[in-house]
Amino acid sequence: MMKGTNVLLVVALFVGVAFHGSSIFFTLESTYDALIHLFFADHYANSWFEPWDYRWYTGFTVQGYPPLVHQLIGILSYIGGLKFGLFTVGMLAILLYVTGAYRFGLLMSGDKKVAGYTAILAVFSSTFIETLHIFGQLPSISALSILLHSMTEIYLWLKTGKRRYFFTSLSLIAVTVTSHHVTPIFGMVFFIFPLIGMVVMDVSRDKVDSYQNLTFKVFWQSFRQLFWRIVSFGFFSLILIVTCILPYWINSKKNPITQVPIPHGSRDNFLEVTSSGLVFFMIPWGILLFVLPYIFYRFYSKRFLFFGLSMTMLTILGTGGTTPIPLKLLGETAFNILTLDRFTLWATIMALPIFGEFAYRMVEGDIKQKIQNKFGSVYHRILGGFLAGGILFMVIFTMSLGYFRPSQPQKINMLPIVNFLNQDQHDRWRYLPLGFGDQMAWLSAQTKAMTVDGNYHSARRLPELTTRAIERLENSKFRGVEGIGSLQQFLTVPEKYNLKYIFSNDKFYDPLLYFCGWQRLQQLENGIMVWEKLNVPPMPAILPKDDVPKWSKIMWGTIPILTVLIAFFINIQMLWIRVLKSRKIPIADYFKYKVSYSKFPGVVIVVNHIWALIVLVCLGFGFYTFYMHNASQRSPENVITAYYNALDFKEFETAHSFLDKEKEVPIAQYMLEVSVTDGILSSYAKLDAMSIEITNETDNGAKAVVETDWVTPLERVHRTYYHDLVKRKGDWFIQPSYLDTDIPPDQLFSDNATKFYNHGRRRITTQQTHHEDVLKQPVLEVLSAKLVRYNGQYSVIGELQNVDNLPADVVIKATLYNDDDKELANYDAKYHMKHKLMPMETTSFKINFEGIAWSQTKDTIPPTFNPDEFTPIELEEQPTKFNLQCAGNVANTDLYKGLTLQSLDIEDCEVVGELYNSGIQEVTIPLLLASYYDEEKKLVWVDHKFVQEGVRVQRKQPFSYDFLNVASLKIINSSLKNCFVNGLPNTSIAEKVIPNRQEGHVGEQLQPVNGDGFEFVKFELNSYIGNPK
Amino acid sequence: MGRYIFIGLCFVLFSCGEEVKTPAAVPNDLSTTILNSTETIVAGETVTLEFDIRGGVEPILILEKSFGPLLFHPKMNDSVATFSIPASHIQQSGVYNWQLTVLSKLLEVGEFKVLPKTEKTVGIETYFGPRSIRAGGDDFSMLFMVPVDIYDNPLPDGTVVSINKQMDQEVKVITALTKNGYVWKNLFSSERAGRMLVNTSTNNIHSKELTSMISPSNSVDFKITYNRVHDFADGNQVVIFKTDQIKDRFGNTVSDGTLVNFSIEEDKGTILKTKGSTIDGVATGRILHPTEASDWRVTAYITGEAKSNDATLSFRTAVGDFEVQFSENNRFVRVGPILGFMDQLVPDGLLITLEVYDKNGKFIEKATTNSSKGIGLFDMEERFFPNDDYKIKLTAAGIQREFQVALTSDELE
Repeated sequence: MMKGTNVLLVVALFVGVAFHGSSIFFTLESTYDALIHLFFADHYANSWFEPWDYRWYTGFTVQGYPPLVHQLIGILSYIGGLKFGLFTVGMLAILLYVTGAYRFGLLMSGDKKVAGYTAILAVFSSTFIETLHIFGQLPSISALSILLHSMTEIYLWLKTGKRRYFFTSLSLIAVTVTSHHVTPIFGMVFFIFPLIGMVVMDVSRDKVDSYQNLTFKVFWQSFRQLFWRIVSFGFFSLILIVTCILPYWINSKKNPITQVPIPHGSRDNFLEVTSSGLVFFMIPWGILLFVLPYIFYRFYSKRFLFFGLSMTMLTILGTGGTTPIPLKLLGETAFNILTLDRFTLWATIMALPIFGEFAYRMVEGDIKQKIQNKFGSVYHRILGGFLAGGILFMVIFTMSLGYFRPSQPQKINMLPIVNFLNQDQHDRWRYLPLGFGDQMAWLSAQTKAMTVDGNYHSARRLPELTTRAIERLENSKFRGVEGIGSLQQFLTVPEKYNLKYIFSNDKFYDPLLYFCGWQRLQQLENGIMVWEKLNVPPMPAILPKDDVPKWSKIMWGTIPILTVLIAFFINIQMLWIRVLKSRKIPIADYFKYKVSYSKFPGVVIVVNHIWALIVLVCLGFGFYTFYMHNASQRSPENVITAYYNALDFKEFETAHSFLDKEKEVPIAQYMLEVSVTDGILSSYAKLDAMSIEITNETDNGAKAVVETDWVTPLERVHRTYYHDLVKRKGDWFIQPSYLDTDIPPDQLFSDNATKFYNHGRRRITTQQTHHEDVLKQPVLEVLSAKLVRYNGQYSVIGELQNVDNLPADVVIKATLYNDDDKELANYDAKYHMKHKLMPMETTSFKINFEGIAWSQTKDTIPPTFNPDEFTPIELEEQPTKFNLQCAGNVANTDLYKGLTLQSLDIEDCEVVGELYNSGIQEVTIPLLLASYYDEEKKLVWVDHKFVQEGVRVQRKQPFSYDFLNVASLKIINSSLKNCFVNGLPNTSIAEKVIPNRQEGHVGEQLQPVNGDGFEFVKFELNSYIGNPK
Repeated sequence: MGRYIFIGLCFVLFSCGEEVKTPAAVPNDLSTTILNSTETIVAGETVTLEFDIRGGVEPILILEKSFGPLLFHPKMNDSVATFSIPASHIQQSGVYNWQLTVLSKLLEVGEFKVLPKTEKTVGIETYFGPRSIRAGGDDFSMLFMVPVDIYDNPLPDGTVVSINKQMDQEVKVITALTKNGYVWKNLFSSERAGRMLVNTSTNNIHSKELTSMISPSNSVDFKITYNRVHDFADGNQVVIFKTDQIKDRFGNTVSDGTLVNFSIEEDKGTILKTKGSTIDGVATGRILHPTEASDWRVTAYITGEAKSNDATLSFRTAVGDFEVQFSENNRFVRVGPILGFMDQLVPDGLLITLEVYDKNGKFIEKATTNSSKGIGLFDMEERFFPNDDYKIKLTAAGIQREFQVALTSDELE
């Protein structure tokens, strides 16, 4: 028995704090969760007792997450700001974790040396590094650490029955509960139950001479002897779990998580999705994988039997979707709500004392002797070096993961955004960040302004969000159809959410914003583009909230901190004595059960060697398949796949290396050609799916038909490419396609255009804009509007003209009614219109009535995704009338009209032509609007097509468009009676502004076509400019 | 323990109960006389009300005003109660009602009127809108005025307000009388586009300048011209269409930015589109020359308001016939040199298509290329086209050539 301070523990604490404490400054802020906790902390710092926070999800309650860690950060933020609080709590968590691991090791082994090794290994445990430095799960770590601390107390209470330990153990359980809800619940099952088993075992052991004599009968007797202690502890900890965070349970009951499950990597099949396997299995287990047989050998000894069972369960549950067992054990619901990586976390933490014991025996115990005797001391050293090297490798690998594969976008300087929101009452509208990653929480923490988005997905409330498996709108592109689809709903009807400003840190979303009628406002100093939508009303002064009773608020605000204070005062005395050795304390009971480390069974060494060999072979096989997968030119399929992957990730040099060397296109030339092509596919698309069909394969040549599916912000694009392939010296190459050698006529030319400038406020004031500075809304006129039914779906179509002398930004909203004037649905025009109109410009429009996707048929969510996926609204009754509200606002941007329609060829059901860019801006994405007219030149349908390539200045871009068959279309109502412009009836405007309208003009400009259900078409062009100059 | 419970119980019991209040009785011999009351004052003056109260009680005065009631306590001098209401409480013009009460018993009611302080007129609240109207005399902006005194009270009805209106290089003065505290006037546009400036004045007080833009009215039919380098359909040069200065029905130039659609009808029936927005009434539209001979009829529209004359222009074919050379095994096809209208090599980028049919006329494949230095090249490799007879069709600049070829093995290999 060591007297004095345990040197190993001191070393562990010293190294732990130095290593983790200094590196959290570089890792914690870019973890997944840390900034979310920071936001919650900011909430408590500002309104301690009020659980409602308006800033996320149009309002949500913070009672959906145990508050202790957040409140601690909140309190500390009064001293040195939020980040000070975050890092201080981080340091505390590190201290608690290392000491917790030490005490857990001591409890399990009864040996201070082993406990010391446990503490040191805990510092370098890859699972802890990952949880802290990559996931940033502070509450989880804190709760787990305190749970480890409480285990000793629980053991002593059960073993000795001294009341003091009863209170200390309960006080620590209370702190655990208030910091994290899942940890104590599952901790009870996976940590406390086996602990109880171990106590009973120990008590039984006292009654008999050896473990051999420990029969079930003895065990049962001891259990009955301890029964009331166990029950009292269980009962009171249950009460604590319920009462300490009672508001949380009430809130969960009131707002059950009814949302569609969000996919999480820990539920994947790790063999299929190897990245998930790496993050959620390989890294947490790390070097422990090699000593698994030893761990299970020790855990299945009689004393640890129950830990062994628990360990087995945790290991299996942690494998996620790799085996069907976790799904069967947990059931569908729990499987989809829980993130299964926490089971692995617990398993690896539970294994620490055994690993510590192993290390001790390996370094200075019987294993060392055994190996040295058996294989010689050199081998022992090599083995030790291998293990130590492995630990170091895992530490560095895990730490560097966030550096080489950052999970977050580059750190954004939030100050310009915060200033923008504070200016000019911009915070009277909601905002939405796009492409911010988890940093959006940090932005929210710094401003009072509200967003429709949020970063705690269990608290989502809007059905637009909960019916889809998206975490945030902000990163919706990573969630495919569901993400982009949700985002489109918010962007199309922003006035419903008072959403006016969007901060875009990812140009992927820009085309979507443009075609939904948003406009660029300004670029902030930090490079973030601000987009703005006109005609959105500010938020009402009073916003709804779900209030909770006062007692609930008081409980929530006081109990967590009280639990810490109480735990502190109850435990401080023991801690004080232990640390300062001021008084001699009796040796704790668990020291009695120390096993002597001698005569290590040789068979375990052999088994472990075999196991380690298996692990190594598996790893080697993994690396081999990884390499083979990347051998890109072994077959025609491989070279095509590699080529498209390279293109998708914009690795043009790699892509070029797959081209046929004999038809040499110099890399410079290739780069030039690739870099000048713009358009939705080359600039805004992500390759989603690809199928390759090889035809005409001969020994040295093949043709490939490549069917590609691209996800763009606007729609899913299907594209077929044809490639000729050649085989040269055993490697396959792609033959380069022909190059467009077209050259524009003019080297330099000039263009004149009218530009507009709006001062905004001419008078500098903090008040509302002076009435003299408010511009008149441009007058629009609805030329025609119809409610039609086509393919079982209702739409409102029509034509509209800006009849004012100013350019207008147009917003159109249609509402459907039935015969009894009951409102059935309303929606805004998305991209079936030109949102910006010059004076006297006309546009066709179409409004589709979109429902909230899959709210009816939850089980039929399509497996692959399509952002253009459209969910028609479920109408209870037949719509017969409609109301159209058009609003114009003065526009001064995005007024480019340089695109022209050139050389058309009309076949029966197809039109082929060219777009020519006659202006001086490069058009990134052209939109073709096709309006169908009947023989009387009356509008019957509006359709759209995004042309997939951009049109550069003075260049042509071919396009083709397939006509629809609109013979089955039914016009339900074509009355202009309920059409309003800027709140005024359309008829009065029509009479006043253009009294002598030449009705024939629209008809004279139509293109005759002999189509199914239509006789004429009109083509209109809308152009998105990615980089306005 | 019992002791504590007893004490606690006592505490609880004694803490309940109601405070007993004895209501003060209204004396029976109460009588009031109004000694001095005010009927009308001008804002900024004080009001003094005096009452003789018998009965030895102190009354209070309740003054109703638009911001809520005010209570005043009197200054008692024997039985005379004097209420002086400070000017600051009664600056707002209008009728004030007062009530004199004692212990909730109403004794007297009355009212006085506060008039605006006309001699201290300090400003005119104005609103002028909409900020822009159309020329032609049908459209108007409304000028709304409220002349106010120093206390922000509207001046009495009948106050004369004069309006100065500057439009079309001349200033007109209009007078109007206030009614209900305000006055409004609809100021109509003239036939000239420009700017209307107004201001108002009363009692030597002048408002600021207000403005409304008068924008042009509906445009009328106009003319277009075109400009091109040559009349060859080379698909490379740009035709520029230009309108003359488009005017509205009163001769004003239309607003800058007015969109003009140029609709081009080709002789084959297709309609091409270009557009331009006006600067100083002139809109310019650009489009490329066609790639094959055609006749164009161009009409420009300001949809719903005006259209132009029809301009007609025709294009001659720019490319004569072209040569086609085959390699020995017929697998390399060299199209060209394609020569332009003055025997120059056609500019790079002319589209050449090659369609391959098998000997039975079944379509196999279509390949396209752009001319470079007047020449287009196709390579029909053996691995894709086995040795056989084929029909190939070559198209460039609207000219089509057909060949029957037999593809054979490359002898060199």
